[in-house]
Amino acid sequence: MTPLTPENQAQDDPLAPIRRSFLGHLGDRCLAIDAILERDGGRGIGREEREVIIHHAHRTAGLAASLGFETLGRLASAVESAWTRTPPGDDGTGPALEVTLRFLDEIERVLDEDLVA
Amino acid sequence: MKILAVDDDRDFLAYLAVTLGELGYKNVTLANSASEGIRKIDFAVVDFDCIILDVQMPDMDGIELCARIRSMRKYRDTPIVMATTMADRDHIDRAFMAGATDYLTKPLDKVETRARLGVVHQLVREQLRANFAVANAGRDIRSAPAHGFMDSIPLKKVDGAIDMFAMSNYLTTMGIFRAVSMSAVGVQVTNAQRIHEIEGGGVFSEVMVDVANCLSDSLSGTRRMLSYAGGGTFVVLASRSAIPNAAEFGARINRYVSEFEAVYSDLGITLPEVTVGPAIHFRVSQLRAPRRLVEEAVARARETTGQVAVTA
Repeated sequence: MTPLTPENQAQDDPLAPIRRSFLGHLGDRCLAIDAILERDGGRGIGREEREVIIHHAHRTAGLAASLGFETLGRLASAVESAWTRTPPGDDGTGPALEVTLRFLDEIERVLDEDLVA
Repeated sequence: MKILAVDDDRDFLAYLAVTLGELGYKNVTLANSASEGIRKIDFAVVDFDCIILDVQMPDMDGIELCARIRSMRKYRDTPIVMATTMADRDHIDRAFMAGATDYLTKPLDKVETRARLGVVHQLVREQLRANFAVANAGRDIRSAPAHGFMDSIPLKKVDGAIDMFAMSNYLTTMGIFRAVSMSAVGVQVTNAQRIHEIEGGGVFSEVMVDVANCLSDSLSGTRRMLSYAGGGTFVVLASRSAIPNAAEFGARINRYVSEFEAVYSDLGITLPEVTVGPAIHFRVSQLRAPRRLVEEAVARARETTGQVAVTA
């Protein structure tokens, strides 16, 4: 009989490969958003950059909670709403920027936790 | 049930396939874009029984894709379920108006997905049974009325029309907070039974489509949905402020109906007469089932038959 270890539990979990792929994409999304915010301290976020942030948040919001990352999913939804409500041309230093930074922190926490596991 | 799922997020598609499999739906085809979805539909040897669409996709979004699929004759009645994070009223309204049958919001709740797809599966089975009955009925089916008196009648080309099942799902999707701002009104064709008996099911269905157009026109310029409940009864769903009082609304609809008088007279068809039931507003007792709003509007309209007759 095969002992029940975290490794073979993961093998039996049909969501494990999806979670792995999701976390891989999460790292890319984090880097992409980070790069946008780095430029000009987030003050010069244009329409295209704004759409990129919304797109990454949207993708994350749709799946995070289903894979067990509830907080990440909630923050992703908040980021999507905040940037959707922020008019193009807004300097982006308001609530949208603040929630985006929290979202990035949560991504880093999730990725760190995954590395440790 | 053969399902096609279209989403530009491959991770979500993979998750959906696993979840559907766990719920017992193993025959799932995945497409990563609207154009791939259309290709899979075009080349399917056996038609899909149900289609699940994401809303936000590049090139062609899910709502446009939904309308495109709906315009295909063989997918006129196939359940189309939207699965999306877009939970605002505008997206929900546009999806249902494009022909969506139901609307699931991401992240998907497994219990809700099971329940909603269970109802869709039941609908698919009923459609298959009905199609089988029609195909195997022999010559008698041709001499019978095209539509029984209580049958549903497709109102595909009527502006604002959706089927009853989709209307119930629309209210459920809207949620209680937004449903509170809406009212449902039942509209009854008082001489419907007579028209059905005299003219037969084929003409009856044409007359009901005309009434539906009159109903839709009488509320043009407002955001409204209407549906046919069978038996000459319609339901209109609109914001509270958009619906006039019953007498005024009835008179307005009948004015539109009267425009058909000359044509109907030439054809020897009885002109429909319409009464309007009271506007039903959302109440606490309907919290768990917003669709009761629609059911009550239908019941109240049928009660008024012969009582508040407003004729053209």
